[in-house]
Formats: sequence, structure tokens, C-alpha cells
Amino acid sequence: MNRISGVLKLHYRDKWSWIYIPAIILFFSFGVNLTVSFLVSNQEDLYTGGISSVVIYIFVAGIIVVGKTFPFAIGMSIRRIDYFIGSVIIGTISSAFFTSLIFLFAQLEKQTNGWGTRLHFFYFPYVNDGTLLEQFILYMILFLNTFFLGFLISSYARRFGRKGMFLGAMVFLLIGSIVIFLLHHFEVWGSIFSWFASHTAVQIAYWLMPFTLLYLLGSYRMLRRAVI
Amino acid sequence: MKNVIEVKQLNKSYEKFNAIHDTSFALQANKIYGLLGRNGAGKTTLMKMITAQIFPTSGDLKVFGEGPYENANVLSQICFIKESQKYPDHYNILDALDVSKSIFPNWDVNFSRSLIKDFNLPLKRRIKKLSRGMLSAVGIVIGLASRAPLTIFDEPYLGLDAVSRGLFYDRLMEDYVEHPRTVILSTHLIDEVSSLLEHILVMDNGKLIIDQDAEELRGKAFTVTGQASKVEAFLIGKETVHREPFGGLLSATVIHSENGSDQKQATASGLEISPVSLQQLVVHLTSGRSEQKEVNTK
Repeated sequence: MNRISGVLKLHYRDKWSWIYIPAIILFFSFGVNLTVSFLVSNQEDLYTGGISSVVIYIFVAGIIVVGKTFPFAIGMSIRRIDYFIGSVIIGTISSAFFTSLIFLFAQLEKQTNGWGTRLHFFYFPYVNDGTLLEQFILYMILFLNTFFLGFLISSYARRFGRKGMFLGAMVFLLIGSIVIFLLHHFEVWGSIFSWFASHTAVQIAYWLMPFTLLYLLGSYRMLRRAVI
Repeated sequence: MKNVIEVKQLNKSYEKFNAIHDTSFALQANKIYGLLGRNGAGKTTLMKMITAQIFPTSGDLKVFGEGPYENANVLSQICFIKESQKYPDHYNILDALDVSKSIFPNWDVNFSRSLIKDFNLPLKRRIKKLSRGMLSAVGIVIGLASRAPLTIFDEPYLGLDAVSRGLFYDRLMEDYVEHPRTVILSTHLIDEVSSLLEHILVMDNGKLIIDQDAEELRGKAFTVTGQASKVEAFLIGKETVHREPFGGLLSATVIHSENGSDQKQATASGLEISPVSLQQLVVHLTSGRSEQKEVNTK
């Protein structure tokens, strides 16, 4: 337990990467969009995708975290399992922080009718259709899934190195191409789209959970055998 | 006495390259060990296996009586400072020390502060921006202040000036006397540390070629110099590690024989005898030119 707190401290020393930079990105994007919404006419709603910048940032944070901290942690005789658990906790905390932030601002945006300018930065139809709890869960799952996908990639890179990354990317592209070809060949695109359309946002988010779990298991398996 | 490290027939191979070959040894508690050898001899590989940073290909490895891999009992007692230790990019010295404090159970804050002062380290400076010498000093501070029961320094002084190196040896000895622990020091500067070392391990080409008490090892060999013919006559039937002719003279480093009458015999034949330093002995033994590679360590 003591060692996990050491890992938490190790990560938390980097408040810039976990909190400040993503917060700055989020609010900078928000500021720009808000300014734009003031300048354009307020006759119709303005939709932006600015919020995706944070999701992308969290993805990148997951990709770089192992490379940045794993060699130091193992060098300081920390167990791989402790490093893994500590990193999962810090990723979860970071996800919860941004989920809460977005959740709060979404409610504010709704109350103020889009900050008085009909801007949709945090609050969207469909995405925010569910109950408050569902809205919260949706973002939480989205962030966790994104972070741990990045974490899986960086664990894979640590375990198999450059050659492994290259090979992995090739295999991934190959399988992806085959799957898309098959989907095309058997003309199942229509049913896929209607499946998405028939589900609410949070229902689709629930479907991400088993994938997130797989990323976690995969990351742990690879970090266990990773060397420095 | 219980052994801190027990290694039996340890092997580590990378594809076609054998980094560690059939190595066996045991280290006792509370001694200072010197792990010596040339670049690429396998020292770092060996230490990385002891600390579970890399995995052995085969063989048995016990640290504090248990396997080190993913073992909290074992790993919490180890501090391994290697020359290539990486720190997260954004860390300053204070960050590294604070994190070390929460990782190593025996960390001594006051000791770390006094070491920081000794080495003139700027706490707020980013580790990325430090000079090579300062980076080494950070590792030394962490290694000493961690007071880990097994502390391993792998080439800890890279880029460090002579004054700081002296400081390191002094602080290590002072603290070792008060808080005995097992220390492994891997180094090239053998003469500098030879007075600290109680036991010597020498590796060459992935094999352990010497595992012996430092005192014994020092008394193990001597150099004779004299006319080539006389020296050659003297060398018959003896274990010679190195010979160096110059002009009509020959200088040879000889391993003492069991009965210890070698030196008398040499003096009798009018040869000059001089002691061989640890560094010279190790250089001879690992230079690849030695006539007898394996020193019989009884």
C-alpha cells in the first residue's frame, strides 16, 4: 500500500500534465468559442466540438505516461503491480476531475441558455439527454476508456519496443482493413448505423466498459513483463 | 550468517549474445562489495537482474532469501542507483528526493539535506538541465539517504570531479559505520575505492572470474622484475598473469603459490619484487591477454 502511495506521489508531482495543461486547453478552447459566439448572430444555436480537445489530450496523456514514469518507478525498486495500480488510480482521478468540470459547466450552460449566446460547448442534445447521473457516467466512461486505450498503447510500446510498435501497427491496420472490407462486402453498414441510432448515448457508453476492462488487463499483462 | 544475495548458475542471453554466463555467488550482509570488470562485462546486467528490472534467462536468484520479482519484501529493501537512471522530464531535484522519501522506508531527511549541501545541488533546478556530474550527485544522494539494506551503485560518479568523489567515499564510509548495510559498488576507478572494498567480484565476458576477500586478493599476486632469463627461470611452474618485456628485462605478475616461498625464491635469484595494486591485478586478469584467465579461488 505504502508503495502505491509512492507511485501516486510520483505522478502527482506532475500537476501540469494531469490538471493544468488539460484545463488550460479546455478553457482556452471554450474562450475562443465563446468569443466567436458573441461575434456571430445569436439567431441560431452554435455547436462546437471544442470539448473533444480534452478527450484527445487525455488520450495523449495515456500514451506518454508509461514512457515518462515507468523507467523511473522501476529504477526506484517499485513493483510493476504497484506502478500499474497507482497509474490506474491517477488516471481515474484525472478522468473524474474533468468529468466533474464538464458536468458542472454543462449544467451552467443549460441554465444560462448557452451563456446567453446559444453556444453549445458543454451541453449537447442527444449526449446530454439522459438523467444527471447518466450524463456524469457517460463522460466518466468516455475519459476512462480513452485514457486506458492510450495507456495500453504505451504499455505495449514499453514491452515490445520500436519493432513491436511497427509490427503491431501493421497487424492492426491489416485486421482493420479486413474487417471494413467484410462489413462492406456483406452490406452491414446500415444495420450498424441503425444500432447506434436506436441506443441512447449512455447505452453506447456502457458498451465501452468491457473494452476499457480489456485495455486494463492487456496493459497489466504487458507491464508485468516490461523491462527497463 | 544469512546471505543477502544468492545466485546460482545464472544465465542471461539476448538472441545470440550471452550477457551473463553460468554465474554463481553469494553476498553476505553488511559488507561493502566491489563489482569490477570492463565495459560490457555484464556488471549492469547482473545488477538489473538482482533488482528485477530485467529477467534472467535461467538460473536461480535469491535476494534476502526470496525471488526479487514483484516481491515487495525484497524490493522495498533495495536501492539501485545506476548511471543511466532516468527521471521524469519535468522533475526538479526536490521532486526526485520527495518521491524517494515516500518510496524508501529508511529514508533520512536530515541526511539527505546535509548531502544536498555537501554536493551543492540546486534543489529547484530541473533534472533535465543538470550537468552530468550533478546528475550523478543526485543519484548518490538518493542512494545514501535511502539507507536501503541493499544499496547498489553502478558507476555512480560519472562526470563527478575528484573532490565530489572523495566526498562520496567519505559519506558512504561514515554512514556505513553508523548504519551498516550491504553495499555493492560497481566501478572502473578501482584504486580510488580499493580501500573501501571488503570483498571483490570481478566479471569478464559475462563470467565471474574472481570472488574473493579484498585483503586476500591484494596479497595474491606480486610483480617480479629482473633479467629476462632469470625471470623466465623463476616463472617455471608458476601461475603468471601478465608479462611485460622491456629491453633485456622482464616484468611479470605472478600469483602466489600455496606455500608462500615465492618471494624468498625471487629475492634469492636477485629479482626485484613489488606489490601489485588491485587495479593492475584486475586489468591484468581482464585484459584478454592474460595467460591464465581463471584464477583459482580455492
